[in-house]
This record gives sequence, structure tokens and C-alpha cells, in this order.
Amino acid sequence: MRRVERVLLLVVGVYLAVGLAVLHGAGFLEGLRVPLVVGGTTVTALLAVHWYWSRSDFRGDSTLFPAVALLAATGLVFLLRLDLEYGLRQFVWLLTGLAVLAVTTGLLRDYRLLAEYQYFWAAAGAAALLAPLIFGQEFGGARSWLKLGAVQFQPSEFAKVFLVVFLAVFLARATGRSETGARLWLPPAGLLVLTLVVLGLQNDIGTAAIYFATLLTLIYAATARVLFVGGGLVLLAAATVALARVAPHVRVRLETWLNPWPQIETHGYQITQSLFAIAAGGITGTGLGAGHPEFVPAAHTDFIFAAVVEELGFLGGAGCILLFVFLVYRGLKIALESEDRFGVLLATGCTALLGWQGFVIMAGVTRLLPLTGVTLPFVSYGGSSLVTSFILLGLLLNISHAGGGSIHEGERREVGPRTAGRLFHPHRASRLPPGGAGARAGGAPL
Amino acid sequence: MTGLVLMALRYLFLVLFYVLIIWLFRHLIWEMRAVGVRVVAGEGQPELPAPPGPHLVLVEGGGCRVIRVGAMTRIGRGPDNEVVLPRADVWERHARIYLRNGQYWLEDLTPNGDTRLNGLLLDGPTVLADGDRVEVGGATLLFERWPRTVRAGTA
Repeated sequence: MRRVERVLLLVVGVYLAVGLAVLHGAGFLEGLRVPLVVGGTTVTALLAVHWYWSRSDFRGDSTLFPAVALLAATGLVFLLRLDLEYGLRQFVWLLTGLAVLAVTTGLLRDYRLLAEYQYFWAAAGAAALLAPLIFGQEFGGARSWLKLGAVQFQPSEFAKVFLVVFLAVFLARATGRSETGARLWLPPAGLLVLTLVVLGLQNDIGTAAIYFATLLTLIYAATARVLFVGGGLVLLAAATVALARVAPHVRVRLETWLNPWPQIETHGYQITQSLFAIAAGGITGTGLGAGHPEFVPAAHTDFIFAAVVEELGFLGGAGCILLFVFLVYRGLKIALESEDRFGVLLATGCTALLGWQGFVIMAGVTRLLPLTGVTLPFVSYGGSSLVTSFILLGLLLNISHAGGGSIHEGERREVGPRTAGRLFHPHRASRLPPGGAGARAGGAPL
Repeated sequence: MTGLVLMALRYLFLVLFYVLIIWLFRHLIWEMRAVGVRVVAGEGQPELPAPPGPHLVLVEGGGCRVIRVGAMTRIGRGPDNEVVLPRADVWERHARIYLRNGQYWLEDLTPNGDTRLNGLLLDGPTVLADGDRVEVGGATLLFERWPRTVRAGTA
């Protein structure tokens, strides 16, 4: 079981070791203690999660975790290269994230438990969103941080999980009762307005955009109506125009997006430095540790993609995008394979959050979209973001586990009489034949 | 010398990055193709692509066979059947599946009624639904009306 996962994780370990060796050789890591401890512990922790899953007969998708581990290893190597202190902190957060992943796949393996506490999630999400407004501190232009002892964290990251769970439960129930009209769209719309107002007050436009996109994705997945998506996009355009008139912060963002060059010394500095860094990379990059990503402000968090592209080149950047494509593909596949409405929507929501966040920041850094400061999931520095991303991964894997998981090479599954029908078509129970009902008593849903 | 080693390691880093990505995508493609073997992966069995139309899956001792279902499919021990089951507990002409008004019907042809549908003895011709289990003597056939593309790679 899970042989593919083990082999892939071992190759990720080799990849990490090579990265650390390069950093050591290029003089970023003095001595052997740091690379050995960081590399050894990370690989051990990855394998420990894998070992726990193998031991507890976990059937969740076996390629998602290696893909994520590859992204996380890349992030770790780049953070150690950019700033040793950030790198070491990220290392600790990565271990925390892996522990959280193991706990998520342990305690919440039956993710349907989450559906029991619908309004708790809404309340928790709202609380997490509002807390920094009251107790928070401003950092990097966004008032979304909470300080707890020595640890700073961004509650809006955790609010994402709560709100996605709430929306998935709500939409699963509402569409299950075939509700339409106000009772269907009013609660999500109300929640959305609240979220956007709060995030607007916190100046956290990137997170607001991700919430918005995720909500539209979920509503589309739940209702299959393009009208909602179209209406949402019109609303978004209108809101952007209106905001640009009222808020100077937003107008500056839009202007630096359309043409950053006149303001290269001020507001456009960050994005133009990012573009220079990306251009410097060429096809295969300058090589790990041989570029100058330190010229890009915030290269360790929001702009880590620029650093990756500078040093690993077009190939490295395309590889990151491919990994996100892979994550989204697997996530949506897990959603399609899920056998209950809540599972479908929760998997779609988790995938949408990770996918949109990756898209928003990679597009922002390359000036495809206006720049909004969010982290690149699993890669950027940031404890809250990393832990949240691992929770989302854990939920996805749990849904995959319930849906039967992935195929393993050489696996044999007998078709027993109890599972035979279900193996292929879980929804067939609804098709009753017109005649011969007497003989079909055994055709009840399994 | 160290410069060369460093350069080689830098390229190795990028190469390993891609080795993993290609591996992940290859696994994905492999899994897409593995649909069908999923059911019963016997030793040395070629991977069976699911036929696009209605078909029967014969499940037998760790192996499986996929048989297309046409307008008339006869099941029995005799060689003139479309589905030949050379077993002692199967009659010469045991059962048949035929298409009528867009639906597939299963009819028992044995004198003593030894055909079961989802575990119940057949009581006259009966419409087959997707995923139904047809038992002919001791042999089990799964009836699949639709291709399995949507549920690719699942179980």
C-alpha cells in the first residue's frame, strides 16, 4: 500500500538534499549542522506521515502529498537561501503543518462529522475575521495580524477553512432540499458581503478576491448555474471600479498594474523588481543561490514565485504552475468521486481555495493580474498560511479516503456482492425499472 | 572544481524537480488507463479498456472478462451462445439478454429457474439496470449499461 507515495517522498528527500548541498556549497549555510538537521528532520517527518497513513490503512489519494511535499521542499530551500532566519522558522512551521496534517487525517478522517456543526463554523469564521480588527496590528499595509505571545498569525487564513466548511454544509443542505430563491442565495451572499467589508477594512484585497472566487466556484458546483457566476463577475467588476474611485489604495494598485514604469521608484518598485528578476532567469535560471532575488521586496512571502523563477528559470516557474495544476486536477477529481453532496462541495471548496490563491499570487507577481498580497500556498513563508494549507490538504485526502482512494499498483480488489454495484455507479439507485419490480427488491441502494 | 560540482548540483536540482513532476503526471495517466482493471486486477492480465456501450463483466477467480451486449445476448454452456460459460452448473441455454424499447431485459431460459438478479430468483423477464449483478448458475456477471468514464479510476 502507498508504495508510489513512499518512492515519491524519497525522491523529494533527495531533491531537498541536493538543494541544501547547493546552498552549502554556495555559502548560504555555514557548517553542516543546519543542512543536516533541516534535511534529515524534514524527510523523517514526511515519511512519518506516510508511515502513519500506511499503518492506519488510510486510502486517501497517494500522489497529492508528494506533490505538496515537493512544493514545500522548494519553498524551504528558497527561504533558507533568502534569509536563514526565515528559513529556520519556516522549517518549524513545516513540521507543525505536517503534524496538523496527520491530526486532520486522524481525527477528521470521517469528514462528515464537520457537517454537524454548521453554524459553529460560520461563527468561528466570522470571529476569526473580526478579531484582528479589534485586537490586531497592522503589518505590511494590511491590518490582519494577531499577536499571541511570540507568535504572530493571520486569523483570516484560518477563517478560510471555517467559511468553506460552512458554505459546503449550507449549500449541500440547501440544494439537497432543492431550495431556490432567497433561501438559497441570501446566506452565502450575506456572508460574502460581510467578508468583503471586513477584508476591505483590513485592506486585505487579495484574500477578499480569493474568498469571492471560491464562493463563486462553490455556488457553481452546487447549482450548475452560470447565471450566478456571470452575475458575480459583473458585481466584481462594478466593485473594483467603485473601489478605485473611493479608495486611493486600490486605485494605485490598478495603476501600477496597467503601467508600473512611471512609478518605478515608488509604488511600482516591487512589481518592476519582480519583473526584472523573472527576466533575469531565462530558461533554466541563474541557478540556485546565484541570482539576486533579494532585490525584490517581500521575496520570502508574496514574491517567492519571482525568486523561484529567477533562480530556476522559466522551467522552475512552469514546474510550480504544473504542480498547482496537478493539485487542482486531483482535488476536482476527488470531488467528482465523492459520493455525497457535502463531500463534493467541500472538496471543491478546498481545491478552489488553494488553486485560486496560487493563481492570484502567481498572476500578480508576473503582472497578469493586479498585484494583491497573498502567499503562495505551501511555498511562501508564513505559518498561518502553511498550516491552513495543510488542513485543506488533509480535508481533501479525507474525502478521497471516503471515496475509495487511489489505485495502487498491483492492487487487487475483489468484487463482492455487497460492493459490486457501488464500485461503478453510486447513483444508480434512483433509476427504477418500469416493470418487474418484484424481482428487483435486491436492487436497493447498497 | 567546486564551481563545476556546484553547477552540476544546480542542474541536478532542476532535473529532480522535473523528474518528480513528470512522475506525478505519469502516475495520473497510468491511473486513467487503469480504469477497469481496478475491478479485478488478476495476475498478468492485460488492462481492459471499458467498452463504450453496454457490456457484461464476468468475474471469475481473480480475473475478469468484458463482453459486449448486443440486441440479443444468449448466455449458456453451448457453443451457439454469445456468452459461453463452460461450467457444470450452467445450462446449455441458460438465459438471454435482449433489447426492447431501449431497455435491456434479462430472461431466464432454464426449466427450474436458476438465474438470479442481485441475489433474487428471476420471476419472468426483468429490466436490467446499470450495475446489476446477474448470477447464472454459479457464474456472476455484472451488467454495465454506461461507460465508466465519469468515475474513472475510482472505486
